[in-house]
Amino acid sequence: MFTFLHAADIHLDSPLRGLEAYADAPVDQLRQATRRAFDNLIDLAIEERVAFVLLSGDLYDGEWKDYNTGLFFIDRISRLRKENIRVFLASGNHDAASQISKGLRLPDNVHLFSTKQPETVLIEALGVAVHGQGYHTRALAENLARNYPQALPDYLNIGLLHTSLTGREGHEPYAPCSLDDVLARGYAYWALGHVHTREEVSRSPWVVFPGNIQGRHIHEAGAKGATLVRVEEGRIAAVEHRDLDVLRWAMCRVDLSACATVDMALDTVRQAMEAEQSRADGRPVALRLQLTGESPIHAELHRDSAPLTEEFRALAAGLGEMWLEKVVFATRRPVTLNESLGAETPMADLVRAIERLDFRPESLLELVPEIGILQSKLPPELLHGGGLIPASQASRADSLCEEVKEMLLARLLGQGGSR
Amino acid sequence: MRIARLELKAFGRFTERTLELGPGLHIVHGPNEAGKSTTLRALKAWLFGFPERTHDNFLHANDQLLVGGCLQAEDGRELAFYRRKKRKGDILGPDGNPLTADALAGFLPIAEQAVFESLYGLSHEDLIRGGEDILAQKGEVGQALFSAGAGISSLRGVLAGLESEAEALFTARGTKREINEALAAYKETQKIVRDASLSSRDWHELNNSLTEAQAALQAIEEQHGAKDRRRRQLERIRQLLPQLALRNALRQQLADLGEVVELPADFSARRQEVERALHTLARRETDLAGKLAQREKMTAVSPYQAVLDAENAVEDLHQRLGSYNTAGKDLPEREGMRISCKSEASEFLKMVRQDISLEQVESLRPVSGRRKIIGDLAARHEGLQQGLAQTEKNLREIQREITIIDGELAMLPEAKDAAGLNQACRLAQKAGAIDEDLTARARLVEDKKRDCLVAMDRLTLWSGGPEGFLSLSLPLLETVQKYETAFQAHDERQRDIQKERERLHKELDEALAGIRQLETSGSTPTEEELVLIRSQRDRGWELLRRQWLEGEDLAGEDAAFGQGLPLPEAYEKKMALADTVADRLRYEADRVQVFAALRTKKQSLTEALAELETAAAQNDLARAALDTEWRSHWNPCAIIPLSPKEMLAWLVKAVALRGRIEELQTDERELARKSAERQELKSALSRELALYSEEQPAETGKGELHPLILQGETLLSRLTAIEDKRSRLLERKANSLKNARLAEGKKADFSEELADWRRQWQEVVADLGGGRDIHPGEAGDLLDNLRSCFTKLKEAEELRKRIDGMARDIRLFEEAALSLARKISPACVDQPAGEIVAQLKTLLNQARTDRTLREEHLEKEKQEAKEVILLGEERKDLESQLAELCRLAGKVLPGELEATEKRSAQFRSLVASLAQTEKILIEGAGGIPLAELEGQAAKIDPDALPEEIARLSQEIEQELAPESKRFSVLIGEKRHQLRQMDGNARAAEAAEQGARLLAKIKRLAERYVQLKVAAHVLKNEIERFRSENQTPVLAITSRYFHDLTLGSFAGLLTDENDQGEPVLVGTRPNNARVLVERMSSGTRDQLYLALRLASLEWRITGHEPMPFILDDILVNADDARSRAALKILAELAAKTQVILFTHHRRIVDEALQLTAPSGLQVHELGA
Repeated sequence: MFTFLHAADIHLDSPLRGLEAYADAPVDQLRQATRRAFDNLIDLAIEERVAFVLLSGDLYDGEWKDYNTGLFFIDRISRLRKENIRVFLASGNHDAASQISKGLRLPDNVHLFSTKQPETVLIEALGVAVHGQGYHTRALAENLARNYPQALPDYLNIGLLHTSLTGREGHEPYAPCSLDDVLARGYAYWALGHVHTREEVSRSPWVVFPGNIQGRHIHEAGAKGATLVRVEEGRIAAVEHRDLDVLRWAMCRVDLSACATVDMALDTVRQAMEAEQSRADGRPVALRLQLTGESPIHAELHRDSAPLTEEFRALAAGLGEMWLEKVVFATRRPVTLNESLGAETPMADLVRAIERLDFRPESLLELVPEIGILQSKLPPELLHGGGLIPASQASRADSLCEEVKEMLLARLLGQGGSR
Repeated sequence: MRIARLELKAFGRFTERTLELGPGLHIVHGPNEAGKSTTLRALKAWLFGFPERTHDNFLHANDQLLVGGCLQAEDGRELAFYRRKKRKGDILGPDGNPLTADALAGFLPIAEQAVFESLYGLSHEDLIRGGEDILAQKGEVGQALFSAGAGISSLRGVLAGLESEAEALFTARGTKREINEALAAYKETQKIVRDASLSSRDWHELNNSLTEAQAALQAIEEQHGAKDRRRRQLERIRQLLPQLALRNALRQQLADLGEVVELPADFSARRQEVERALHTLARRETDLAGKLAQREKMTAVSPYQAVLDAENAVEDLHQRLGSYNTAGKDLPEREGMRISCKSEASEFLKMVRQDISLEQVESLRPVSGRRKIIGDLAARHEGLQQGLAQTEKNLREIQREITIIDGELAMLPEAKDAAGLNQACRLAQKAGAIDEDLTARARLVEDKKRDCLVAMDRLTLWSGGPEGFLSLSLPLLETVQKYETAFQAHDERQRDIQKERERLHKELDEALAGIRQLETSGSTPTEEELVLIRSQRDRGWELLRRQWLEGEDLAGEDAAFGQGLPLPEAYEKKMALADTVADRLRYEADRVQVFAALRTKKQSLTEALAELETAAAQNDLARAALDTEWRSHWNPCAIIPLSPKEMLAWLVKAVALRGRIEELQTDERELARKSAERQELKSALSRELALYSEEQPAETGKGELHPLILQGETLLSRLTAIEDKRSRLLERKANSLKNARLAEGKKADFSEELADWRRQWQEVVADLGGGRDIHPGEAGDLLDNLRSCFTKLKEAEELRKRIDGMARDIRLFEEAALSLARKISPACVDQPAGEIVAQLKTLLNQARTDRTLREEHLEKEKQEAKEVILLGEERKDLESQLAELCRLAGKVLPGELEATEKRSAQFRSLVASLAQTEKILIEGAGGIPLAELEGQAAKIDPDALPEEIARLSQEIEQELAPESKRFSVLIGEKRHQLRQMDGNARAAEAAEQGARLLAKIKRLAERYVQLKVAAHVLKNEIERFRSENQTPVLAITSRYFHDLTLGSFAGLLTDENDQGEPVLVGTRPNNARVLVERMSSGTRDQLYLALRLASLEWRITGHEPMPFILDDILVNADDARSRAALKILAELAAKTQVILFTHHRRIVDEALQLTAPSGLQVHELGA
């Protein structure tokens, strides 16, 4: 009987995105999150006395050039070497693009799979055959799985591959292959990588995406870690997920339809935050707060969104290690604007004017040239989605329209208007 | 829409307060604390819902708060609803059921309170802010119009806020703006990332150079090691050469000494010790022989042996001597006590039985044993006796009670059945307060009857009694209404005809007057005239032609035509006349036409009048027919009707009266029924009462029931009391009889038990009395005496046994003393036993002292003999030790021992020196065997040694060591550099910081976009609003501004400022222009008010009017200006409802002097 550990998409030294620093934000607790999560992986391997560790690609972040990251990796892998734990590594798209992986001399307990053709390593003592192939280029469009050898008889066959199979939302379709392609090899376990959400694609035989070991932005919310596999008498007996992340991302939706006052809303939000914190098992939490529902205090929330955001941050700070990533004010009016404003009032005309406004980037940039000036000064990293007014994301434009509406109504109707 | 009514059901300090509003101007006046603001809040709460937190719940709790009222739409629809303080379902209909907000939307199209307030509400504060805003906008027309149109009094601030917030975030060339700063900080972190990043090439270069340096260092170290080893070898040999020489010398001396017996180190000391011990031993042997000769004299035979042999017997007797003496004294005393006991026993026995002696007393022992049984029987006897006596006493008392009850029963009157009376009474009671009811009803009927008669007298057109009135067949209300409508239609038609007639006459008069005017100003040629003259001319031409061309004799026709003139002249004249007429027709065409039109009009009017008259005549006929028909409807009731309208009123009254009469008749019938009912109850009750001979039914004057009921109830209660008493007595008697039976039974039981007891008693105490009867009380004493008798007998027996024992002991003691004296000291045989024993004891003590002395001497003699043997053994041991020493020294004689010891010491010294030398050599050789060292030393020339060593040292110190150090330093440096490249996270942390900055920039940039877009849209909308509304609204504003400033301004104009933007300016009556900046603040307030009122008035033209609600807007205006403002409001109130809330009486007084076209109502809130 033995165990092995399967992880992928480490993305060492990739920074956490979207967390703006503010007073009382737990900056220190969140340093080097990917490194500490990787440390947790090493600790888990040693603690569980695993026979070997499988890393299914994307060890590094593609554009990251600091060789220190590689040295850190070697240092930690050396700890496994002292414990006689072998490591099998199949490079992914990011590794292919990385400068670091090119010059790195790996310790002798690591086997790096060839990028030219599938390779097989036999571990006779355990009766295990590990098959794998890495990426030689970033955008790999070939079906690698099809070239993998058929399962060796009398061995427990494991396949390592960085792929999103037939495609997963938010992930590039590299090394595309179908589930049937991989199942056809007859392996007992497919250790896949590339998809950052854990998924047991198949259980008989096992085809597993372990997910990444540390969420790096709000779209990677929830528990993250590695998959621990137990083998008994040449068969896979159990497949378990183990948490490794040092920071938990959480999307916290709070329905405020029952809150008649801001104080009640604050209370409701605090309870929701506490619930999220208790779900994180003592880890620091990076939280996005999304306020929803037909709320009687909709207008008030929009009018005071800036001071309220500060209050929510203070609530998060009061709970300890919680970082408020963003507050999304997505409540709706209990009464529609048409009814609120009447049919032909100047305010209703104003709202219609906003709704008629052409929010396409090219038109808006022409109407308000200052936006273009700001855009030209922004770093390119921020303009990946197409600039400040992305045309592709319709919902963003809608939300801009809503924000502008609420901003003007709140300011024009002023303090006296709200109940 | 307008507010028809506002009801403050429960709100603030108000309870059930209603304000009846409606169209026109309303002034709600409440001095301070009178609730003006509360009412305003209530109005808002009613229309838009309660705020979450309210201070108006100090009198009515939150869940009790309720405001309501009624809204009226322009088309006449009404909506009454209430509002309570709830989050959901807060709107209630008049029936108390919840209404949805949709129901309200039909009346109040604006659900947002703020929007409604800004459009249709205006407070003093708004006015001030609006005035300030106009100043801040410098009269910019678009903003002024938009802010007044939307009711926003701080538009300028909003616009400026959007701009300044955006600017605080970012400017193109700024550095201190938030986004600019964050961008700069981000660039900084990017630089840190670049600087802190390590390239793999750098690392590998450094790693390679380190490896090379390490290899070089290793080579140098090896060379250094070899030379150092050689130098150390030479140094060692140089140091050890003298020791090698010494070692050889010592070895030679040992060889010279030859064979030596090596003695142990302590040999000499051992020998001297043995010799000293032998000498001491000889002296001790002599001393001991002397002591033994002395001891033999001390042993001989003892004179006290016989005493010592009987030692134990003497001691025993001596101890028993005390008891012996005591027994001799006690014996007579005990005998006396025994006799006394026996005589006491005899006394006790006599008290029980005198017929038996003490010797026979044992026959009584069984009786004495039954003590417990006798006691129990005695106790039981007492209980039985008491029980019997108590039972008998009870029985006597019960019988006495029965006698008393029988007496009382005999005295009660005879029983009677009261069920009938009871029922009659209950029925009468059930009828309730029938007397009062009947009286009240009778009075009511009287009143109603009187009212009806009065009403009938008052009803004109008809006279008669009520019955006749009820049977009248009156026409239906609808019939009368129908005729009313018909008559009205006739009258209207009549009026229309009359009106039309007047109009036609008026127009005809006008036309005739026109004709007359034309006629007076000279004849006007007409077409007809021309036609006439032309026909006359043509006639003349015909005559002339006939005469002139055809030569016809005209026979007088010409004379007729010429009228005295010859035909040609006549013709010419006609000709000229025709031309003249034709010319005039042409020249005076206008006049001709007017004249013709007037004449045509006159014609048509005359015709129309004729038609109208015909219609009037027809109408009159129809009306007469209708009137006849109308009257016919009233014939059956013999009434000559007035007009339908009057008859309608009459009929309503008559129908109402008829209803009342019918109601009266119903009441009368009910009264009669009730009276009959009462009479029936009364007779039933009287019948029952008569059954009791002693009761005569009470007479009641007014036929009232109540006295009879009272009488019946009194009788009933008396009968009931008697029956109650009887049943109580009977019950008691039955009870007593039962108790008597029980007591008898108990008495028999007791008697039986007593007989039983007597039998048992006799059995138990027979022996005790010896034939005599024993009373239970006496038995205890007898038993006590018997027991005392037995006790005394027992004591006497025990005393007897003791006396026997003591006599035996005395005898044995004396025999023993005598026998011992005979054996040991026959001299004292004749003395008393006590003396003998004392003498024997003295003898024994002397014998014991003598024995102790002899034993001590014998012990010492035994020890000295043992010592002689020990000394012999010690001598043998010492002699063998001396022999052993001689053997060790190589079998020499004891005298030779000393010389042998000296040779051994010399040998030992030489061996030690050699060992010391070799130790130094071994230490110096550093692990090399001595033989090899000797070999090496032999190969080396001692003289060349120092030179060789110096050469090696120089090579090491000056060549190899510096080189080694240099490489070591180099390696250290490389290692340090490499350690710096340790996989640290400096670059990663900078990247993390960068990510945080990016998040911030993203948020701020999005905010910037929002602000910019918002500002853009708002500006556009303001401009659009201006272009649509400027002309009409400014025209109205100008007029209001003139009025509000009491003519100090002529009005308003738009002008352009320096930037070419349109701005507002006031114009003085002399056409001078005044910029808003130059106006007083009061004037600017008036300007804002004018703008608001104008916007509102303009708005009403296109929209459903809404109530305009003003909160004390005239606080700061003087009387004249207030009056002007009120006047405008009163005019505005003709178009929409206006409600002005004020604290100031002055405003109310001003308003009351106005003549409001659409009505003015003042509502006072104060007490």
